[in-house]
Amino acid sequence: MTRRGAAADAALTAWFATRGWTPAPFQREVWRRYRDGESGLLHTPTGSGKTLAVAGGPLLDALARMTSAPPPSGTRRKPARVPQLELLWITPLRALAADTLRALREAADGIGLDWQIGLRTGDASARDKRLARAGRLDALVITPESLALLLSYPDTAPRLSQLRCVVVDEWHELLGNKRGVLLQLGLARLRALNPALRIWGLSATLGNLDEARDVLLPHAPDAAIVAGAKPRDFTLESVLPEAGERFAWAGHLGLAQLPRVLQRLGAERTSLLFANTRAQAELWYRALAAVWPEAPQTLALHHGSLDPKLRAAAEQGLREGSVRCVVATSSLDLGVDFPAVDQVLQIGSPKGVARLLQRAGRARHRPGEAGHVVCVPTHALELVEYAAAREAVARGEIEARRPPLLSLDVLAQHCVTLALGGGFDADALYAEVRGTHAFRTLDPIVWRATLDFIVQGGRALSNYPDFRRVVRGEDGRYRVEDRRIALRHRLSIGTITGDGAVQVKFLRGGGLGSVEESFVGRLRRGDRFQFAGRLLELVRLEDMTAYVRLARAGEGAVPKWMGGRMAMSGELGREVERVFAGDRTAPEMRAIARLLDLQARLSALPGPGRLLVESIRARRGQHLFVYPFAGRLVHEGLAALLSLRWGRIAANSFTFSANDYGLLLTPAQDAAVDAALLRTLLSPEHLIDDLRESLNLAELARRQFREIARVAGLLPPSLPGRAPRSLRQLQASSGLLFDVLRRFDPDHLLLEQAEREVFSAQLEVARLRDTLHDCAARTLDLRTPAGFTPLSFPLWADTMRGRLSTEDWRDRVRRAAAQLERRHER
Amino acid sequence: MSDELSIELAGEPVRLHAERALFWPRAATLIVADLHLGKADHFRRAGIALPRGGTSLDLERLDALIARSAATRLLVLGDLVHGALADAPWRAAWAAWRQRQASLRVELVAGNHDRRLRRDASARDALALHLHQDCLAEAPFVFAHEMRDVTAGAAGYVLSGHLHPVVRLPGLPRLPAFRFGRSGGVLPAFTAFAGGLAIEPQAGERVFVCAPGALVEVPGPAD
Repeated sequence: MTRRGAAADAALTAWFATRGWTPAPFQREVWRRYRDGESGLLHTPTGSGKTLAVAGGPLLDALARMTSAPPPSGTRRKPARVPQLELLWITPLRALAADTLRALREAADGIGLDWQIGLRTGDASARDKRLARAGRLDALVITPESLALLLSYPDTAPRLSQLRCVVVDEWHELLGNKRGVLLQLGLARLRALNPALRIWGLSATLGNLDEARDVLLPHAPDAAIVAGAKPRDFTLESVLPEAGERFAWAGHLGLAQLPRVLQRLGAERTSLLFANTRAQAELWYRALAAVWPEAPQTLALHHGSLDPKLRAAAEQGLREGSVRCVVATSSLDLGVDFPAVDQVLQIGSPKGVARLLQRAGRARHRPGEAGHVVCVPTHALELVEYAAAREAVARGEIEARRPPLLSLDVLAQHCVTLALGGGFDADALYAEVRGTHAFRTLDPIVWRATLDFIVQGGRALSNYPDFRRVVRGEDGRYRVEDRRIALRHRLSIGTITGDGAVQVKFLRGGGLGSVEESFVGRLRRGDRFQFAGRLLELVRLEDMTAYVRLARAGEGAVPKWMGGRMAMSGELGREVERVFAGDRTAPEMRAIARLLDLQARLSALPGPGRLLVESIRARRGQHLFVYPFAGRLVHEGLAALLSLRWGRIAANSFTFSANDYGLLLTPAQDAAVDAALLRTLLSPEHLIDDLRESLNLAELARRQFREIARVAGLLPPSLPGRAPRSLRQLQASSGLLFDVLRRFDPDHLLLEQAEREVFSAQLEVARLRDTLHDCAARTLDLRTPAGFTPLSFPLWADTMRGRLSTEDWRDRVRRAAAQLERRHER
Repeated sequence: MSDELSIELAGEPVRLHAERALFWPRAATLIVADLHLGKADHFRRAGIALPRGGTSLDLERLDALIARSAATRLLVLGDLVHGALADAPWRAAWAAWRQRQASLRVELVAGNHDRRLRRDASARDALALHLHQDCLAEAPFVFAHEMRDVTAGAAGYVLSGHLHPVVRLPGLPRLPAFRFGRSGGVLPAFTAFAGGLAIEPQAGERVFVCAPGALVEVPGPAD
C-alpha cells in the first residue's frame, strides 16, 4: 500500500480500530480503486464486510472534501450545509434497505461525517420520500423500482446529475431478470446525467462473473472484478431415516421427518427453515405449530405473499432473538444480516447449487465460520440431490445467471417514465438505450415500433382510434400530458408482477397478505383455507379483497401460487446423474441403497454418457419415460416436442408430465417403441419449427403474456382495497388482452416478445437444443420393466399433466369433463 | 349440429348456441347477455393500447345467429355498453349494424354498466333500442341483468347475465358456460373480451360449456 493510500484511508482505519477490526486487503483495494475514479464489481459472501468495502470510497471522498474546504472561520455560526445527493445505494429487497441504512449511518458517524442518509423504498417514511425527491440527502437507499419512480419526476434530474457514486447491492439477484433490465436502463440514464459517475456492484459467487460485470458496466469493459473474502467452507448434512427404517415405495416422505426436524430446531437457539414454495412453507408451518413445544410466537412464517407488516415482524423477531424458528421461502434468501441465526435447514430439493450456498450463508453471519445447511428430504430421491449438491460445491460448479435481452415491455415502461420525467428526445434516448447490455442490439425498426406502441397504440395508427398515452410535442420531445395516465403509470412502475393478487383481510381490518385470484375464485363463502399460518374462513369476496375470519377447527386447502415451482439447474442435474452412477460413500447414498438397488434391478440406474428410457405397460396403457436430467422446464418443452413428432408418425393423443429428472409420455393408443423411433423423436433438427407447431406454444405464450402486459402498462395496477371506478372499469385479464391482440393486431411487438420469452425463459430453448444434442451423443439404454420403478413412479403420480391432441374441441371437453368426474368420485 | 342444443327451461323449449346465445322459438327472440360494446374504446382513451375490431366481430356474430334462428327480436340481459356513450368509435359500427338489421327489435334490460342509457332517452333512440328500467316478466320467464334486480312481484324462471360464468376443465383454457339452476339460469357473456367467474356444477344444476364450435354439457355431482 502506498503512503498516500494509507493517509487517505486513515479515518476509516481508525474507526475500524475502535471496533477491533482491521481493513481486509479487498476493502483497501476497493477504496483505492474508487479514489482513482474506477467502477467495478466486488464478489464476496455476505457478512464479509462488503458494505464497508464499497461505501468506504464515497465516505472517505466526502470527508476529504469537507476537511479541505473548512467553513470560513470569521463567521460565528457554521452556515447550514445543504446536502447534495452523492451516493445512491440500490438494493433488490426492501428488507435489506433498513440494514444497509443502519450500516451506512454507523460508518458515516464513525468517521465524523455529518451525512443525511435516507430510504426511498415502498416502506420509506413520508419525510424520507420528500427529502429524497427534494434531494436534501447525501445518500439514499433505494430499490430499482424506486429509482424508476424518481426518474418519472421532472425535478429530480438536476439532483441526480450531482451523484458521484451508485452501488448496486446483490447484483446477482437482479442480473437474470427484468428488474435488472429496468436497472440497466436507469443506470444508463444516470450515466447520461453524469458521465463521470462511478458504479460499483456487489455480487455473490456466480458462474458468469465476467458477464455480470459487463451487464452492470457496459461502458467500462476493463473494469475490475475484485475478489472479496475467501469463500466460506460449506458443509451439508442430511436428515436421514433411522437404520432399518424403510422408505415408502413411492418415495414420498411428506411430513414424515417432522419429529426429527423438531429435534434439530430444539437443539439450536435460532433456525431458518427454508421451503421451496409458499404452499410448502404454509404446510410446514402448520405442522410445526401443531407440535411446537414453546410459546407460539417463537415460531414465525415468512413468504412473499404475506403482508409486509407480518414479514417485518418475523425479521425483527429474528434480530431480537425473540423468534426461535422462521419457516421461509426465497423471500429470506437475500443477504439480510441475521447474526442471530444459528442453523439453516432446507426442506426438499435444493434446486440449484448457488441457491443452496446462498441459503446456507444465512447462518452465523461471521466471516471465517463455515456455512452449514441441514437438508430435510420430502422424497427419497432428494437424498441423491443433496449428495450431488455437496459434490458440486466441492468442485466449484456454480450456476450462471443469464441476463435477459431486448425486453421491450421494460423498454416501453422506461420510455413512458422518461416521458413523464420531463420528456425525451427519441434519437438521444435511442443512443442511450443502445448503451445498455440488454438493448445493445436494438435495431431502429423495433425502436420505432416501441415508440409507436406508447404513442399511437400499435404499428398501425388506424387500429387504435382515440388512443393517448405519450404525446410527441411540436418540439419533437415525447411527454405525458394526461394526469390520470401519469398517476396510473407511477402506480404501476416496476416489473414485479402481482398477477391478479387478491388481498386477504380480516373483517375487523388488518391485512394478512395476498393470494392468487384463481385460488380464491374457487372458494365459496364459508370455505376454509390455510394462509399466513392460520386457518381462515372466507366471509366474502369483493373488490379484489377476500374478507376472512379465523376458522375454529378443521382442515383447509393451501393456496398454490403460480410460479412457485422452480426447476433444477442444469449444473445440479448433471451432478445428480453422476452421483446416481457413482460409488455410495456419501451417507445419503448409503441411506437409500435399497431404493437404488431396486431401480437397478427393475430397470437400470442413470449415469453419464447413457440416456435411460423406460417403456412400461400398465393397467391404463403404455407409458414412455425419458430421463435427460435437464430440469423440469426443459423436460416440459421436450414432452411437447416429442408428442408432436410421435403424433406425426401415427395420429395419436398424448398426456405428458415432467419433473426435474425426466418426462413421461402416455399415448392414448398403444404404439411400438424402439431405439430407431427414439432417435427420430429426439432429433435436434427442426427444433424451432416443431416447437412453434406444437399446440402448447400458444398456451405458454398466453401465460407468459401476463407479466409482459403488466410491465408494458396494458394492465392497470391492482391496488389493495376498493379501486377507484376509473381503474375498476379497466380491469381485464392478461389472457383476454392476449386473445384480443392476437385476433386484431397479430403482429404486435409484445406478442412477438411473449413468444420469444417462451422460447428463451420458459422452454429454455438453448438448453433444450443442448439437451437434444447431448441425447444424440449418448448411448440409448432402453428398458422395459414389468412395473413402475422408483424413478418412474413420481412422474406417473404427478397430477399436473399437459395434453397434446389433434382431437376436436368436443372430444377434448368431453374427455376433460369425464376426467373431472372421475376425480369427484374418488 | 354440435354447436347448438335444444333443452327445456321451465317447461319451455329453448335452444342454446355455442356462440353464447339462447334462442326462444315461441317468442322468436334471441337472448344474449353482457355485450360490453365499446370496452376497447374505453381502454384506449385511458391509455391502454387495445386494437379495434372486437365490436364489429361481436356484431357479425349476432348477424349470423339472427340469420340462423330467424329471430325478430334481440333481448340483451344488461351491460350492452361499457364506458362512454358519446363520440365513441363503436357507435359507428352499431349504426351500420342497425341499418343492416332495421326490422329487428332490440330490447335491453338495463345493467350496471348501462347507467348512462337509463338516463339518456335520446341516446336510446339514436341506438334504436327499447330499454326496460326494471326486470322484464314474460311467462314463464323473468329477464334481469342480475338476480338482485328481480322485483318482488315478478314470478317466473329468472334468466340473467352479469356474472360471466366460466368453467375450468383439466387441461383446457377457461370456457364460458350457461348455468341453469332450479329457479333461474345465468347466460355466459356474449363478448369474447370479458373475464369470468369460475363455477363448478352443483347438484340439481345443468351446465353447458361453450367451446369453439361445440356446446357440451358438463356433468355435475349426482343428486
